[in-house]
Amino acid sequence: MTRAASIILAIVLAACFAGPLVYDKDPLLIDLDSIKMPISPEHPLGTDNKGRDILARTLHGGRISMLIVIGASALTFSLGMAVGLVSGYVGGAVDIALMAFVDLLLSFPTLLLAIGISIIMPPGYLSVLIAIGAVGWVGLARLVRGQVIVLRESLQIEAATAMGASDVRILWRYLFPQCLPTAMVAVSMKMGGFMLSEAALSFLGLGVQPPAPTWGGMISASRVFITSAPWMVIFPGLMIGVTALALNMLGEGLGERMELH
Amino acid sequence: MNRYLLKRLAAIPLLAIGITFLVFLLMRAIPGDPALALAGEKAGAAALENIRRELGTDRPFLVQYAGYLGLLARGELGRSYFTNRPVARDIVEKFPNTLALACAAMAVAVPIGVLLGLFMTLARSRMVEKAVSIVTMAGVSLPVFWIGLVLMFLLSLKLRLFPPSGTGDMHYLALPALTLALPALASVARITKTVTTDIMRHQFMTTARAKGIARWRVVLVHLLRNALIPLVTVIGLDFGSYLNGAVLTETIFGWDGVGRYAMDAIIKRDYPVVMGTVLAGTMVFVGINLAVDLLYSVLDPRVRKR
Repeated sequence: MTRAASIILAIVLAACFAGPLVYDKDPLLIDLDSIKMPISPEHPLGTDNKGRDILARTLHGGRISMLIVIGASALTFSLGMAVGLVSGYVGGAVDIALMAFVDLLLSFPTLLLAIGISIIMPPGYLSVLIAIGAVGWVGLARLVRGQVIVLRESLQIEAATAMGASDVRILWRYLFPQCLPTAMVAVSMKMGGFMLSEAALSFLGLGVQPPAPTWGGMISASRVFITSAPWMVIFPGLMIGVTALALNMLGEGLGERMELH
Repeated sequence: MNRYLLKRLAAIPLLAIGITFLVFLLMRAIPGDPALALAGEKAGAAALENIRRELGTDRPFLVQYAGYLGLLARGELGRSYFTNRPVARDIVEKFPNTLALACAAMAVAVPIGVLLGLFMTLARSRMVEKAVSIVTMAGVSLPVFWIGLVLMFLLSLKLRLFPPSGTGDMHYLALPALTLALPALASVARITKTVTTDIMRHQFMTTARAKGIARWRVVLVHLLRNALIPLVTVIGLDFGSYLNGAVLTETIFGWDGVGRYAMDAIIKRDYPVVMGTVLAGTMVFVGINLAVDLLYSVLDPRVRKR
């Protein structure tokens, strides 16, 4: 399953990042003479209500979605790791305060929170990435904290402390590497969800702004034309589905190996 | 058990304070001025100042927040900036719609999902199991708003079975409920599969089968009863994501529920409505978690003794 998922992901990534070099139609070019054209050799996935080529828009939209998913994963990883390590290692009042904050965030409906965070900032790559990452890290922080609490009592850490290693050194050289595999798998299990969150925010008009193509935004814009040009809705949705499916399969495959749920 | 329950109940007001503070902070940080949205771009500075004073948005942050907490203590949620209707009454009016939607979706999703999950666990062929597993994973990977639009296109615009949008009787309920049910169904099936596969590994399952108990009895009595607790827990915890789905589904189908109410308010910067709906949503979520904990003792006599 992991292998199939990696192959699908590699294909989608290659199509979105290298594809436009081969298929070099302009995703923003408005052509009012060929509005809402169905599938044809000229336009393999048809055109939208402004005559823009849907294949080109889908490929370029994929770049935006992927970059945001990668960025949000990086943010989730850093925030979750940092909070989890500090909370577990320092313990005491710091631990209680940080975990109370985590519990607070976990009790929010995640999409509403992401919407709330994203509208603070001017809409664009950064606002979406931060909104998704800022909501996603809490589960990871809990997981890492749990690991650190166990590791903290180990002989290895005791020895390091006895030899006079500083707190920063213990955190960075001993605890961080040991939490790394679990954390990376936990983040990979979240990536499919990140993809869907990005799509939902774009669908609601809070993502990267038009005329730049995003998969969620393309679906949103095509709602009105669903009877006259159904292909406008179908393809971006399938792309989101296939990519999120591959990400979820990869995450679950890795999770099964690590016995994470 | 009782002390535990009291502790959980005592945490709820604290949680409410934390949530309201965070949302208040967020809403204040949002660029855009509700006074400007109300009066329009052409309003003069004096008129804007008047509206701000009336809404109370000209006062310092902490004063506003304290005012809001006072309001909450009296069981109120303030009034919408735009319609001037009490938010609490709006939510009470719209909540049954959201509840009907959620219940209809779960009524479809839970039984079918559990059956599908059991089928995956008990399937004799690896191929069949793999195929169903991938289909259910696709179910949780497709965006819910896309599923909604495709269903709307097929069932309502092509086959003309249901109205495409609006609030009303079962006819109107069918499409949004189905949209919400499909990803939930897939997720319930996946959870059921994980949980039951885990139980199958236990020795009492081997014993039960070795004793010659009928296969259906093993599944019903030994497998399903033991699966009940983890199933209820995970489905309950997943409820938060169904609330997310409700926001999108209600928006697409024009279903007059709390989700759409919240979405409209966020776009219009209607602070009291946003606060009220987020608070209500979070409280529902917390309440469900508590209910799930309480259900434990009903479902599993072993928990009661502790």
